[in-house]
Amino acid sequence: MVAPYLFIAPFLVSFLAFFVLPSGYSVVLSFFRYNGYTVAHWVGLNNYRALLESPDFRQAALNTTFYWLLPLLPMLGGAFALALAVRSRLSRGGRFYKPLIFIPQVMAPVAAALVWRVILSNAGVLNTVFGRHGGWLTAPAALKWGVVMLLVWRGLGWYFVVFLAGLTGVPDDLLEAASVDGASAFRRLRHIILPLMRPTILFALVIDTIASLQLFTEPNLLVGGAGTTAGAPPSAAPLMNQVVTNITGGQFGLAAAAGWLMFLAIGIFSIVQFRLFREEART
Amino acid sequence: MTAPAGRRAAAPGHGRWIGAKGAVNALLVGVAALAVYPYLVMLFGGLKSSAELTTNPAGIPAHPTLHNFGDLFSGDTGRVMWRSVLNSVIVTVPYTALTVVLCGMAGYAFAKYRFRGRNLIFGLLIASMLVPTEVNIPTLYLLFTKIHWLNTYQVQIFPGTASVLGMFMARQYMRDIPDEVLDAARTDGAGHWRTFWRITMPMSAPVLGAIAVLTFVTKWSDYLWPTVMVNSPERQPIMVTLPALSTSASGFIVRYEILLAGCLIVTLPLLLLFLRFQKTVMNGTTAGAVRG
Repeated sequence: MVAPYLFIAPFLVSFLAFFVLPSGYSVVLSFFRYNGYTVAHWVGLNNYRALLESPDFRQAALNTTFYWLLPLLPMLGGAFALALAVRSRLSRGGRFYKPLIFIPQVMAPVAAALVWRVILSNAGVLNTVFGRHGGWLTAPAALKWGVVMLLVWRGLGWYFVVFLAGLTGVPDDLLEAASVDGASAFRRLRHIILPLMRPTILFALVIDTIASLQLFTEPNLLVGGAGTTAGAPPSAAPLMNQVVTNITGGQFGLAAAAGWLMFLAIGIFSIVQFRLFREEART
Repeated sequence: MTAPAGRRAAAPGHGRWIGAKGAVNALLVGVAALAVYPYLVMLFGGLKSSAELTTNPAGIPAHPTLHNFGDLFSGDTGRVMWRSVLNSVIVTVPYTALTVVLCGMAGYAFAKYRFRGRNLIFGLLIASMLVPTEVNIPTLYLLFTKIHWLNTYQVQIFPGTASVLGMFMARQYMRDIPDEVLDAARTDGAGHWRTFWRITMPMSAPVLGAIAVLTFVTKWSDYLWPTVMVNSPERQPIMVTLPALSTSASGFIVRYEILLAGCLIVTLPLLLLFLRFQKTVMNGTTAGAVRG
């Protein structure tokens, strides 16, 4: 029977050509020094070593970690608390708040970064409203915080919707019964909601890890050179820039190695999160 | 939901309950306002003059003007703007259509046919979702240099259309189409393709629509891919040209009121899609969470 193969053929051709083969080739490429037109030189693990020893790469890794960890509490924690509030009978307006809180996600990252430049610039919204003169986009120490604000603004609603969807899996009657039996709100959260929400929380954490490590648009356009696409300065540049700048710099082996280091980080963090949650489940 | 509320109303501590309710609702209103406010900064800012944006970036425009939109679409800025928006449409529409058809076809095969290697191929595809596309960018850049695809439309249209998530969504939906319906079509003499195109695809309209909306939104907003692959202004989409759109030749003066007007223009199609397909967009982005 050929019909099913013909049906998946176009998908597989596209997938092989633009994903599988380039992935395989990029593993090989990461062991070579190659500028795109002359002969490639085998360098073994030197590309990886060079990256790990490069101050720019280390700084970028620190920056990306910052963009990953700092929004965790306000964004994921905040979204979880809001979802609980909407799910509890404390508010009846879930259907009303859901699209409003989600809507920042609709704005394209490019537009969001530009709008937030206007919010954070010296004569911008934030300084005007609070009558202060914080240099959010100019003081080196503040740059990353500006990016975090943008990330939390744009991401909160996404996780809010994820957690709301997860909470529909917590049966009403179970909470009701626990409440009748005198279980406090905290105990209901600890012993009913959190265990049932474990898969959703794990999903949110893993997605957030992946998204954070691949961050590119927001930092580069928010704190990049004004009116240009020059990108963020090294003190605020994300890891993804190591891939992009090495491509434009004609260092394809380094670019590939940077990509695989990012993949490695995503893999390790995801496995750690899976394990942590499995341990939790046993206790 | 009403009965427990009634019981609570009769219980002691009624006042505290009302207080908590007020606090939670106030919090939600506050968060919703903060979520929406940057949209207002964009809208109001686009309607302000350069002078007013500097003195009053936060509030309602005192003297609203459509001047920025005129500037945005005329002169040198206008040439880039028209060209880039057109490029974005030229790229996003076929990309979306191609994604829907590829995902529909593959999803259909995995949902409705038993064939050798089905589970293996399907499993490998799902597993591949762990590898971010970013690791391929250096090698794809080299490949597209060799075959002269840099700075073209095709480099923006073909790669990425084999979306595993889209295929998965299509397959989940198509599995629920009763086999009897498809068998009936076949006994009426419809071939494999006709059964797929005339019966399965129309019956799967909801999920195909969801894939289309999500694909369109993602592609329209994409910045990384065209930044790397497309340097020529003739082929760049609006997301790449927008940030540098109204910069003076010296690079020192940035007219943010024009940038905000531009942001409004590129956000409008996304906003309209969201308002029209709210549920699809919100359920779709979180499909993985529900399906596990």
